[in-house]
Amino acid sequence: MRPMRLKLGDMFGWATILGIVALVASPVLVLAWSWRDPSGDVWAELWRTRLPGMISTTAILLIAVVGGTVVLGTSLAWLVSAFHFPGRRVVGWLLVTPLAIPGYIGGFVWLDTLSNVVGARGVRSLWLCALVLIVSLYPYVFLFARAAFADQGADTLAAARSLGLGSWGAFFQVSLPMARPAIAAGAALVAMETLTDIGTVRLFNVSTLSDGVMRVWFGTGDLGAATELASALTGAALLLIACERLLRRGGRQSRASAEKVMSPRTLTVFGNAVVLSVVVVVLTIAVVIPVARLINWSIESNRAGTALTVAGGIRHHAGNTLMLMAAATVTAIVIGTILALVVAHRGRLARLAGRVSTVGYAMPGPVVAVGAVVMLAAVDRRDVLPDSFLLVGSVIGLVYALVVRFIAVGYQGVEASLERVPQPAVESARVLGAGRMRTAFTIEVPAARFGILAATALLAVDITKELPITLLLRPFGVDTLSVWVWQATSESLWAQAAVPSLVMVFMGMFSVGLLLVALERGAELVS
Amino acid sequence: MTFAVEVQQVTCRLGERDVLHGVDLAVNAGELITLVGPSGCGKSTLLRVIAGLEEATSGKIVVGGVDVTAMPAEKRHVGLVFQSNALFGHLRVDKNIAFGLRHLPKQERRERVQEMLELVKLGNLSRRYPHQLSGGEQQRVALARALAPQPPVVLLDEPFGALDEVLREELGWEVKDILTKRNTAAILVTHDRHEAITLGDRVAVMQDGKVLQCDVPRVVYEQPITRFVADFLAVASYVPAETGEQKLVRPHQLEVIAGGPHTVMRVEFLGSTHRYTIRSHDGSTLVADLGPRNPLDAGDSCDVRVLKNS
Repeated sequence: MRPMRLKLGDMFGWATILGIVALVASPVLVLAWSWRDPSGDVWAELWRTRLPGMISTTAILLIAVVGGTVVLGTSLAWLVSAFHFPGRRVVGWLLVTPLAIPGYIGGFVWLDTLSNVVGARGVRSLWLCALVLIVSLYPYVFLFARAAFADQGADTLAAARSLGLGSWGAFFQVSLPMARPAIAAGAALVAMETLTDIGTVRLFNVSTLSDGVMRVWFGTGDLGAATELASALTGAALLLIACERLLRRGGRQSRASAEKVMSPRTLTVFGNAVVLSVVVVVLTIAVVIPVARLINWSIESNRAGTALTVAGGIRHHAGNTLMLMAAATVTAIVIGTILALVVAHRGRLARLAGRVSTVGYAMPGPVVAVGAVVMLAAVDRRDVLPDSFLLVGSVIGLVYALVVRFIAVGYQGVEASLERVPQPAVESARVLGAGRMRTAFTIEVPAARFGILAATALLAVDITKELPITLLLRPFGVDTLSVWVWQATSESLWAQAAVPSLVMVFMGMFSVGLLLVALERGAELVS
Repeated sequence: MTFAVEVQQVTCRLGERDVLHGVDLAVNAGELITLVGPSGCGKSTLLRVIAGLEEATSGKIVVGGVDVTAMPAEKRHVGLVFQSNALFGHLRVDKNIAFGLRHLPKQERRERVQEMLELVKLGNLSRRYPHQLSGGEQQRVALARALAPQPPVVLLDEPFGALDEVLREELGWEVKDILTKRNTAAILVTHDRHEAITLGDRVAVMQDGKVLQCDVPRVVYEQPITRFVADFLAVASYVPAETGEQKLVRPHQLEVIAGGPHTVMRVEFLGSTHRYTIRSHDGSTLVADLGPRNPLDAGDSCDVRVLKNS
């Protein structure tokens, strides 16, 4: 029996994993600590008055939005995967663009547009809120489902058809069940976004748990009570993760590499017309009308000279948004990539540790914000930083919280694309004399580059439209576009929110474009 | 004399399973050993342990006179060629080949890459990317890349497994020539018994994580030390010998005559020969390869005779 050798490289790797995980998971874990000393009065009061209502509202909204996005996202993905119609490629891109329009922007446009029809009171309903969230969030399901459909071999479907299933039968009995894990993954993202949303639900007066955390924080200033409410939210998030795990079980079937991918069928003229009108309707609701109205408002308010009533003006806000987005995106992708590289080839335990780092994504924004403040304040109290610099209320603190919340997008994206790097290539590099580091940077990262780029783009999209963390943790004087939109819309000043919204949408469109390029090039590389 | 690679009493445990139990194997410089055995017998694991991609649980591995047992893969100085997917897709052919030559000065590196390209007859493809090459060309690049740093031994893990049969045979001989020319030792894992016997200077047969026999093809073919080795390498029949034991006979060592106590069960056309599967009167099965003369049909009665000096 050979004695265990302590390898320096291994110890360094584990130290890296544990360090990163501790840094990004601690804000969430400290919340568990808060249960030590519950502020019973507030809790009892909440439970007696508003909490049951919040929980049921949250549940109904979740079911509606997740159900809606799954149906819409999966059907659209099936249309672009299984059928050939004019403009199929472009339609495939366009259907992702709603990602660039946050629910709270689409929300206020539709709020104003519909209040002329349904009346100002009737418009603020849970169902309209759900509809707005569905059209802004379905691209998550669409992207995952489309990738899953593209991965299904033509032979599998052909076999199903030869066994007597029609194309509908083949869809419901073969394609859909095979794509289930991917659809569940997309649905989980939608569920998290919905659970976390504060902008859209506030517009439509839907009191969810996230909204409750925000109100308790701003209304009573009671961090303890907010923390406890946040823990309840955490419970809901954990329940969702459990559901997702369950749905993803029996996960990865992948097509044999030699098998041809599904080839789309040509449609009749009537079929073409139906498909294209469905696409046009979805895009009109999700993108065309919101963008058209934003442009219209911007022009009007510009003409009236009322546009720039916010201190600092649009440049200041756009600059801050860009700066925060860039800082948080780069930090998250760099840390996520390092973590994914170190975790790879280190076995089960390392993967588990890596997974812990992603808890932030499962936690709603307000929860992460509360946790981050608790953590940062603890550091501040120690007074370890020079010149009595305080992390709470600093840009660094804000970026930290954003990274905690979104690192999962970077880590999991990079991890998934590293898994697709052929193992023989990695091992060949080792045998040819490259150590772990050189292999990582000359072979693994370049081979996974499009996956990493896609993860970066998705991070940029998510962080640009992020609202609760920015709102709660932004330093004085560092206002972003999303904060401006939030403030203007909370006072129903739609026209004032138009310019920053439009800038955000364009920034988002740029990131979505990057995402699409990365996904297409990545797919070419694999096939 | 020192061996190019020497494996002494190596065991390897992967998870809950003992994959290798005490493997001994030594390869001389310039020698090609083919390694065969049923799936899961540990032949690929043995290569991975030698390369340092799996850790030996016990035993010793010596490469080019240096004990590498405790070294990580990148320090061992062995060449490795996989079945497929091992080229760096984002690097051109010349950069792939140069990957293991970082220690050389630029000029020398360029010359070595050129030399390797010519060795594997791909001189004009140096600026292509791997996905622009055919399967056979990709495997040549993989070989050139493995040979470029001039390792004492190259390990080939079913290198022709993903190629069609004609190409496989052609490339097999070419690889053998190249290895001989470079005086590089090699261990070639294959599941193709024909390939094992024809290409190997010696053939090593593995079963259940052990090397059962390692010898020149003729000896392993004609004097296998166990019945498993005999049956695994080629079709085998057993006839009673004078000593009372069972004697191994290969299909070419049997002659078949019309009329007798046995029955022809099946006749297969193999091109230059016919293969007769015969049920003997005592119920055992005999297989004989015969030329196209004296044709018998399934169902005919026959007798067999063991040819001398064959």
